[in-house]
Amino acid sequence: MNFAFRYIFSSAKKEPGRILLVVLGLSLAIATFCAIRLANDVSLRSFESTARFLRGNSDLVLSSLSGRIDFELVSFVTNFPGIRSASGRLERAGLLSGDSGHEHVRVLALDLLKNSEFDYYNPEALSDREQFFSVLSGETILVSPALLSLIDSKLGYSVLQVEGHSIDLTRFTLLPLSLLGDDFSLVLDLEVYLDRFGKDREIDAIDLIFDQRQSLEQSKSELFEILGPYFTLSSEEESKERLATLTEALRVNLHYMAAIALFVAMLVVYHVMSFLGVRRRADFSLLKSIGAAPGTLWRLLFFEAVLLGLIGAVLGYGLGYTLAVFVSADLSSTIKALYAQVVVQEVSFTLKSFIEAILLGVAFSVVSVVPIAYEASRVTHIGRGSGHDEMRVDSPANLGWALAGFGILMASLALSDLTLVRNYPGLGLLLALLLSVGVLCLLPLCFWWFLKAVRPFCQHPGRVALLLAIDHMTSSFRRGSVTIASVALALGMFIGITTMISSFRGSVSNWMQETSDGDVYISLPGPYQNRSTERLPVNLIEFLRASPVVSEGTQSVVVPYRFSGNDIFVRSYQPLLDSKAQNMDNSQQCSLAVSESFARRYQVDSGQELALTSSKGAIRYEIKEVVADYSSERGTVYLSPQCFEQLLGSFETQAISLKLDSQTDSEEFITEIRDLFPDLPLQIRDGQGLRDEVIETFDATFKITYALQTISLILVSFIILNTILILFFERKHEFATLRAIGASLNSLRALAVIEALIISVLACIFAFILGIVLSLFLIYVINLAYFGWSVVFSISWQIIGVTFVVTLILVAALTFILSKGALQKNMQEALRYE
Amino acid sequence: MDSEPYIEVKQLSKSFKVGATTQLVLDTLDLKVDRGEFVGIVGKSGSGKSTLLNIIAGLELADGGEVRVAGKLISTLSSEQSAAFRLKNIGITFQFFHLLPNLSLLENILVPGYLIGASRTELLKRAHDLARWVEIEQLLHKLPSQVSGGELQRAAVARSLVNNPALLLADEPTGNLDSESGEHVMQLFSDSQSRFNTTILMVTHDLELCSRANRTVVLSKDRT
Repeated sequence: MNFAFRYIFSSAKKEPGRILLVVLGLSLAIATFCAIRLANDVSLRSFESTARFLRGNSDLVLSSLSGRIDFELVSFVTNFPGIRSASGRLERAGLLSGDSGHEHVRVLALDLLKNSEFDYYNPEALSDREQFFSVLSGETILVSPALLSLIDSKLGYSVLQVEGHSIDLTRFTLLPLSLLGDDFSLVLDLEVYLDRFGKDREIDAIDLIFDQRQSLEQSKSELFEILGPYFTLSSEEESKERLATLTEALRVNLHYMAAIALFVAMLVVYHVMSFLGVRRRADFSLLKSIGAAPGTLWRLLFFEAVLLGLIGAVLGYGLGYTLAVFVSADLSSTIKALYAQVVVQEVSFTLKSFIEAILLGVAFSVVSVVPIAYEASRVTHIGRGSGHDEMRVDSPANLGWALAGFGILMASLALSDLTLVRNYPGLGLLLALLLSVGVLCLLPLCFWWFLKAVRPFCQHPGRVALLLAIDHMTSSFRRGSVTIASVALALGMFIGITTMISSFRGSVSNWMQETSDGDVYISLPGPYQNRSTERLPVNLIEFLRASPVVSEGTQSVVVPYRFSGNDIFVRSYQPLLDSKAQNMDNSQQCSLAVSESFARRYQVDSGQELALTSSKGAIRYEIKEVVADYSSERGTVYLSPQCFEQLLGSFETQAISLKLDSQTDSEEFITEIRDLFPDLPLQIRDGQGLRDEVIETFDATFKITYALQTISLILVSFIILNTILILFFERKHEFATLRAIGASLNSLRALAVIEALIISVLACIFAFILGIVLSLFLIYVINLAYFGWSVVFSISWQIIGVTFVVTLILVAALTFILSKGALQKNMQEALRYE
Repeated sequence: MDSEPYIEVKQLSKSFKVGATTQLVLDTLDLKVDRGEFVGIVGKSGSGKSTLLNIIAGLELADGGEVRVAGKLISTLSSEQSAAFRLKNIGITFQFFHLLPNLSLLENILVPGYLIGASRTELLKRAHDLARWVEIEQLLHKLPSQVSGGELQRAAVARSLVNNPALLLADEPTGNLDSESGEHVMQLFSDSQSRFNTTILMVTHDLELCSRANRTVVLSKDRT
């Protein structure tokens, strides 16, 4: 141990640069992994805690399939035997008016005061929410810090409109509550809300706390018997499960990215450690000559790997912790765009995540060093220690790799069954890694063929730099292969994600062009997750119907619905200009279609029957069609107006899409509507505005993947820098010899640049292949397994081209800049080296 | 021989920093070597033999004094200029051969010719001629790892002469060879001197090898 310490520290003193490269590579990868894990944990924890806050820590939550419950049910349920407490709640979209316009506000109303008989002053009897709010009165409104700043900003934001009624917020005591998040949200007492706004007196859910004297299951079944199947009761466990299912796809995909980053790091560490191994071959030969056993060399290298892994992991965790702050902000945007409001809590240190990082760092470092330790143990005591890679891989071995790669690719394709991937999230991750490994296993053979093919071409006086570059790549073939593989993997990850996003974006864009070709879109304030009960007033609809400039119009409604324990959406469309809605009893007019994500999630297809529950019982519909709909991955059911009314009651228009005649200017028409209905807080957008908004939401959804793209580019830059530095370290002796013979500095620089460029070009080619394979996997396997969307594959040649060009320029520039210093120093020392 | 010395060293000084101390290796050294002369330089370890050779080759800069080779003041040349001068006028052999490991012996011999941009046909002919002369023609396709030390050094000698340099610098050329191989290499030097009128400066710690030289210069830590 004493000797191992001394040897390792003296090596580190002699080659600090290379040791630093190992530590940096490892810490960067650990940082990536930790950033994603920490951000993932904090964002999802935030999501869960917000959800828990809303539930009031209740035993069960009572809701209806249509998402609306009469408030009077609260009193009824409270008196039910076994229920200790029942509190109503709802969430609506409001509009806050100010001098410069309107802002959308999320309005939460909770039953803040107790409804039961038990001791009000006994904290244990209260739910968390009740404890928190028990000191507040009905004249207090809790607001998010951002909203409070807006109201305090003296821009005149004070009047809140919800469900067609308004109040002046400044007449209340406004207190900040950071749990509400970073957008404009507020919480007020449910009774106050219903008194001021909710004339229909409909709420979203009732939170129930049960008496412990009776089992929850028994209470649940008794309640069901009375209420009927139109209502649902979900427990915290079921909520957690729903939440987990909801976010499952996102979590799994994030871990794919993190795992690939770790894999790249392992290659980087192997790359640098193998060079160290070669440099120390003379030392190993000497040690063996004086009696060191192979086991001693294994232990020495493992000990070094453990030390470097520890240092890299600690640094990586620190860096990852810092990065997590930025990543969690992006991830929260994604969750917000996809699911619900998230409060960005602080990233917190946990011992578990720290130990995880340490174990990962050490494990990866140790695994990377295994082949090097194996070689070291086999060095003979007559080892020449010439500093060159004598263990070249020749053709048969390369062919072996290629065959193995082909086999791995075939196995991966065979295992890429959608059902398997959906049921075993880890399988998707494994397949992504296997595909990467499979493609990269083809690399040694291709590289070898390339070197063989180019060599005869180099034997010409004008091509000496190329000849020497080919020579060096041949002599350090394995390290060259690993370098190309590392760059290809990191760059391939970037291309895979970019291609997947551009394909997706293109599909969404095309879908928007086809389905949203209206000139003007009118709705009331943007509902949060479409839970708004806002309906467009009848006089507006009549006006539009009668307007001579409107050539076509479509009315739409979308409501949340509970199906098989999950939240889905039900949409319906009705023409604006056709005659009145047809007779509801005419069932031949009733039709139903489902979105692709619905079909995937619930394993249905066109021609099959779907049972939906109404207030009058279950209704069976035939699925006429499965449609592409990129609006939500939760799943959407499309009903004709007749079916909609049959299931959920009257069709109340939430939004209208209009086509205007060709002579009418959209902007003028919009102005006219606003002038005619000045008191209505209408949201009116032109066609392009709507399409832009959809793309904006799309970009917000993919914000986290953009962060991962950035990380992959950072990894690429690191590997390239690492490669160039190693190139100069490794060839110091050779460059010194050439310099001594009389080679000019420029010719040596050309030599270095040529080699770096050849490696980079080969890496780019393989990155392209790997990227396309990964993107096809993400689009046609992961997407279909978890989201079910039809995405048309398309390659963004521009982005890929720019990426490759920038990579090559970066490589050439870095090599050129670093060569000056590297080539001029220590020439004499290099010549004396043997 | 020409009247002007081919190599002229005047008041050459060179020192190295070793930790906190400065070691004076060459102290106001003077040396003249005529065109076509074979000079052996001997001395103990640390006497500055290799340093002297490196300064003459333009691989190192002196602290003081001047060095002229073929009338050119080497000490004032930039690194690029000295590399170009070296390529055209000086051939070097080393104790450890310093052949490029994955080029064949033929390709190693050709490298200086490639660098200078010579015609491939002429270059090949010259390389083969040299290979024949140094008796490694049958081994030209082999890699350095596949031949013996003596064969390597002969290949290195051939490489050093491919551009027809006027000056050949040899740093311990037989240091890593057995006596028979060493003798063979020394014979090559003598032949080179007689056939090509090459000026040869050879550094060695073996006084016996200097018997082939026209002159022997002894460097010591005190004075030359």
